[in-house]
Amino acid sequence: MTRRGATARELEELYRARFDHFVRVAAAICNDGDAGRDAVQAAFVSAVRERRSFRGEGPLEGWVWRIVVNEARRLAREPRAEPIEATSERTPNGRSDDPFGVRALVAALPGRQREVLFLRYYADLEYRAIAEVLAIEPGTVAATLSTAHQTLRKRLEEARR
Amino acid sequence: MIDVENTFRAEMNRMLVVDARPDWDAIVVAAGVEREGARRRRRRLAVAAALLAAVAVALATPLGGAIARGLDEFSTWLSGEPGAPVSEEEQRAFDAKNRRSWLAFPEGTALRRLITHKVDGLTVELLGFRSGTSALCLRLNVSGALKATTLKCAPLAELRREGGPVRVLIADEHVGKGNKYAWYGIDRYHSAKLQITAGIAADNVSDVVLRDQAGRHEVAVESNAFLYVAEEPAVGQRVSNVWARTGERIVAVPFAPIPTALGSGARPAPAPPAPGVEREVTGGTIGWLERREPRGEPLEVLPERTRTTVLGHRPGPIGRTPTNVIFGRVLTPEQGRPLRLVVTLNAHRPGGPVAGLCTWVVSRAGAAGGCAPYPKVFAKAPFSSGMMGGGSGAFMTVHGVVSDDVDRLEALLADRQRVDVPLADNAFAVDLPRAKLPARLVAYDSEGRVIAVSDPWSDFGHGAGPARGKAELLWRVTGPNGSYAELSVGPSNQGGECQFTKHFVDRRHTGVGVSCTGRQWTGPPVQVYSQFQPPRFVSGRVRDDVKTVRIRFADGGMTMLKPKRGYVLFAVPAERLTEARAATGADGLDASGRVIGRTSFKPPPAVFDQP
Repeated sequence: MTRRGATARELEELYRARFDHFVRVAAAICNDGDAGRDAVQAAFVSAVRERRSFRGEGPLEGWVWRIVVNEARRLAREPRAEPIEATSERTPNGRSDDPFGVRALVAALPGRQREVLFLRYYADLEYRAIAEVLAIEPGTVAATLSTAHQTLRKRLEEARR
Repeated sequence: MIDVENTFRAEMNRMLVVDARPDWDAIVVAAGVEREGARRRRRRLAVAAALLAAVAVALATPLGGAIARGLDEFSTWLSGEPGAPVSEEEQRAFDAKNRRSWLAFPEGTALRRLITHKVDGLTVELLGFRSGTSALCLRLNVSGALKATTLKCAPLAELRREGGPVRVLIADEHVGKGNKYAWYGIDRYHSAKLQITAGIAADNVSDVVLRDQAGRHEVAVESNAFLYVAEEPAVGQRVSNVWARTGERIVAVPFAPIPTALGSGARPAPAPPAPGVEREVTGGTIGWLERREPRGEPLEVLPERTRTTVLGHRPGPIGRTPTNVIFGRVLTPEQGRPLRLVVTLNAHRPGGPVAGLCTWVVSRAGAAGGCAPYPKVFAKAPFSSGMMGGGSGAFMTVHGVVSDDVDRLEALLADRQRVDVPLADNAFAVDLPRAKLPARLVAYDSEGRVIAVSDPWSDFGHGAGPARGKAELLWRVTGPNGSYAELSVGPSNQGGECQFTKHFVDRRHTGVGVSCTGRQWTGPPVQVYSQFQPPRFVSGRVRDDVKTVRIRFADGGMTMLKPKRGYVLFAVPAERLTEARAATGADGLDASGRVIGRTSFKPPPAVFDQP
């Protein structure tokens, strides 16, 4: 038997517990920290309003992730300021804090690959959960992740030569 | 072979540093749940067709392009006139009073009625006006059984900066006396009958949501303004958060709660990073002041009361005569603004050489200022500044003078926005939003190089203050001729304790000192100080490992005290009220009798260097 609906309290607990994760992944999708935060806020407003429509067929977190990702994608389509990955700040001793340019490499990946990377490695979601969030097949998650790995590995090796 | 997964994971945290904090309340408000108890007064926002036409014209002009962002948000305040005109009689009364004021608003300033609210037999009116091109102001009038008026302004430029679609100008203004009270330390505080918060809103804001200790309150925007009246608030109640509702969106408004007289207990926000200094500047001066050039206006323009306050300030010991002022002028840092900066060169004594530079900011709210040794004040940095503000105002005035090395001055706010600081005749004054403090001043030379960055200016009241609760009397000591002192201890709002030291020598020499701490001990192990010179009373606190406090005297004598709960209070006997036998310091001894902390009762140095 599946439960129907979520409570505002459950959503609040999830929000408080995973706020940083939601914002960072949304920021990665939007390429903008502020937009990521806006996306999370807007997503949770939607989640609270629509909480009774949660059908309980999967974890509540997966349901919320889907809303967050969709909201972040929507905001990513809007005009925005400079992308957060575009800069590589210098540390006080003058060295770059991203010597191999990982940020730039990730920023250059296709949107789907970026989303899968962040949901896998930052949100720590399993393939099945990522598949539900992104509305794709679990096999597609594995293939996308593998492609992203190959691309990054190749470019990192080039960067280290 | 590169381990992509680990490389990526390692980079992740640094890659996505997001400066955001959870704000569940904003979600709840936006989602429209938990509305019970919220007071709601909705009215339609009306925007006149004529105003829209004005906005369209403005956008078509070069100026319009420059202020397009502002017009999107605050067009009614920037290019139109919110609300309705007040009656001719009210306008005439305002004009007459304004003309009489030395610091008048520009001729032709038109009052607008924004919101009228009736509560418990009182009428609360919110009026607004633009002061030339420099500021917009809100005036709060309370009439009925109680009468009160307050006026707060914000720089017009503030509306063109990032900061959300609402600007709070008046926060928790106290009106009348309420029926609640509470002890904070050794004082019993009464509540206000009303606490009023008001501000202006952008054109697309329909409601403003405020949260205080009584709950969440939603008030409708009228005439591009909002008014929240808390009736019979609790003692110490403060609006803590503000949001704006624009259609389906709810936006958090930058806002800093007004500190109570007891301190907010809140920790200040992080200061903006200081930009690097590109050219070191030392030993600056103000040339025109040294040459006695008649910049600005003479001191004689100051109204008598202000003149007494400003020129009556004397460096060094109390009792010097006004002739310590060698030269001074009244400057206007920003044309059209009802604010002046008084700059004087002072001597230690009448006829003496220049010893100090005194600056006073004079506004409609009063005067505040201070002195510093000159030219030493510019020895390390090319500016000298102070801050004035407080009460229910949402802005603080940072003011001061710069040396001739400075060509341009900027304020760098906590949110990293930069604000141009008006500078004229080496004087400056700028209003900064309390919600965006701490801020720094950044000085540039004529080639645009950074020559100095100030330490961050923080809002008042961030230190520990008394928490609710009555303090317990620990010590009471009596001195010669009926003098006495008391030391009481109560909780602090940062988890530590507050000590209240009350002393009485005679009617002119009496006072109360309050010192509060956080949960952790900070500073030296012996924090024992003296009152008066030579010391009449010695009081303070010591760390837990200090078991005995030894008072030292100038003639080599000593007195041992046992701290009570870590506090000591001592009345110096009559025979030791001479310099030769006075108390000179205190030592803290541990259980084995070893000295683990010392303090001296030497008086602090005078404001100016002695010649």
